[in-house]
Amino acid sequence: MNARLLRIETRRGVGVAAFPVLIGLAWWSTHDRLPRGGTVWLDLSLNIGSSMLFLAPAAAALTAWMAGRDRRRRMDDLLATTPLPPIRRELATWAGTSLWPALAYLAAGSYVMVMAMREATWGGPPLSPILVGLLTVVMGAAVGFTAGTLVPSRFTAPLVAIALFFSLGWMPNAEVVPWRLRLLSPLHFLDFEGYTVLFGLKPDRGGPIAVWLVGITISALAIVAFRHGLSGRAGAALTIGVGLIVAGLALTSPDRTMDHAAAADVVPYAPVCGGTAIPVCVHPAYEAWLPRTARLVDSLVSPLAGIPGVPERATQYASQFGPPPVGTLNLQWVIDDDRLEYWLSQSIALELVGAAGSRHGSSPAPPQPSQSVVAIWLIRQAGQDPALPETFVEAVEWDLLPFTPELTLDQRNTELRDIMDAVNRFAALDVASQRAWLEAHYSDLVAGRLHLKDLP
Amino acid sequence: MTRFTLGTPRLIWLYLRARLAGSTMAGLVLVTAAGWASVRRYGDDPTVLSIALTLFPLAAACLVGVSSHGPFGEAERTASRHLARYRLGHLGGLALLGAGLLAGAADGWLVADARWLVVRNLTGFTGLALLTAFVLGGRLSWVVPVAFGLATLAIAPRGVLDAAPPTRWAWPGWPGADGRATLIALTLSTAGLLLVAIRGAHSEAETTV
Repeated sequence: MNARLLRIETRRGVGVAAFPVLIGLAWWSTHDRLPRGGTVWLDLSLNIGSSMLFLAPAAAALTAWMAGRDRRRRMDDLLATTPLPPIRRELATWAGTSLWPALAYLAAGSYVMVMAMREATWGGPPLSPILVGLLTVVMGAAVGFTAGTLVPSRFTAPLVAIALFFSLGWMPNAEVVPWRLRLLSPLHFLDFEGYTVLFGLKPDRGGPIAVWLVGITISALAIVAFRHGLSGRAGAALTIGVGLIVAGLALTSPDRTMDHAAAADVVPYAPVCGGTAIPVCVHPAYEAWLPRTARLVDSLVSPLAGIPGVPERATQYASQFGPPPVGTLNLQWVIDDDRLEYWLSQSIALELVGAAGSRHGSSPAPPQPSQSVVAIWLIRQAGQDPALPETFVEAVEWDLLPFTPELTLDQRNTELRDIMDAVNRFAALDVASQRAWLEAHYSDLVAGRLHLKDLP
Repeated sequence: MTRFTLGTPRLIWLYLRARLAGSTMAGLVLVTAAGWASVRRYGDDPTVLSIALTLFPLAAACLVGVSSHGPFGEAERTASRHLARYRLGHLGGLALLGAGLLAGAADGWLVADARWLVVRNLTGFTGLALLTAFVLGGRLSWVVPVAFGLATLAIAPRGVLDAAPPTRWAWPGWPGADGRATLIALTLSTAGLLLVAIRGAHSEAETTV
């Protein structure tokens, strides 16, 4: 590839004009989904990598467009007389065009990282998601260029972009694609929700995916070279490309499941704590959101504080360790998003009345009617007053209600009204009476031995 | 007023051939088939469904937009007949064909108003493509719709399947019953269709990329 030619292609290609749009796409897809007020490096790296979902198709469209430029300008015959092998000219066009989406990816990612650095409280950014994102953008550019070269039609550029976007989004979910191949999907890796700061990026599948993406890139460009006739170099490039694809497949073992191994895999950390009613401890990566989370826990626990059997500590607890120890509230989330405040209050209230599970959860059991009453009252007195449902159909998404599938809809509506009446009666009591009742009946409530008629 | 003469069908035929109308129609059928097959097979997955509601109308709209490119450039303006009605018939016909095909394919998709959603999105994206064609030329008409479609999916990946509709300008992700999205789509398509029909797509003779 000629350096001067590359410089010309970089400056005169369509990528320059598209750069602001590319930057905008990268910034939106990275920045818009991140929580505000703090930084979790793992989420940030995965989000930066995920912007490839939009930049790779854009890169494919740009390179497909540029691949047809000489034909569009009727320059084919003229260029056929130049002494340089055509593939060198074409590689310069590809490189000069794909540089811009790659640059947009890195620029948007760097900006977000610099902004995030000011708010980070723990750890550093894992680099493999960022590398995978970058290689996906380059791969998209190569695939688009090959498509534009092989099918030089005005329809190629938009269709290749849309097809690539659909493939990237669809591949992780497609049952028809073998599991080993799905594990090599960049989106499967970057959008996987099972990664937590407790374990970090384990297992890190960035290596095999990177090898696989480089293999596709080299193979695609080798196919372009073959258009000008069989040559040793093109054959070697295709062999290397296919070899890398196979290597990527081989390196990804389907045996390496997504389940985190054991407590031994936890990245060491010292929790940070807050709270007044009980200690509320979170992973240091979430320190920025501790005050808000602790305030919510305090407001929910305060009416019960000091009663025997009430949890004495709230902490983030990984499900891999089994159920949390007795006396510990499990913080399923911290409040890094306004929407989580209500869900966290539901989860804590249910744990406080002894019904940590729900009908949407797996274990241990949904609340009984008496537990529902106290849980709803706890949430209301904490200022998280939800709009009370009138009928069971309206309340179907409420984790706070009992799960009684054997009842008819009318019976469930009646049960719901009884629960709401009991909540209102309990809320109407003075604070001393509420406290006295809770002290007397808390252990029975948690054990599920109370019925609605036992409530005041 | 241009009279219908014996030469008119031949003129229409040549006009459509010059715009690759046949290839565009074949492309519309292919896009529809791909949309139908993918949602039929993977439509249970909300990700696939939400992507399909945006991407297949987008692909169809790009095909219609790219078809507005004429190979004759400025020379066509010296023609003795005004081409507005041919352009209108050509582009409007392709858009209607795309809408009909996609609406048929969307039958049974597991989302409320699926048929209307694909038609509405196709209408809006086609308008965007034609407006882009008016400014950048037919062959580059896909640039703005593709960028806008991807940006829409970037801020609201689940689109209409989200409990709360996406904010701001991402109208392709708004529910079918939302009148504002319909108004935006109709405005875009009317403006795009009228501009390109009356003035033609931008001549690309001076485009350097």
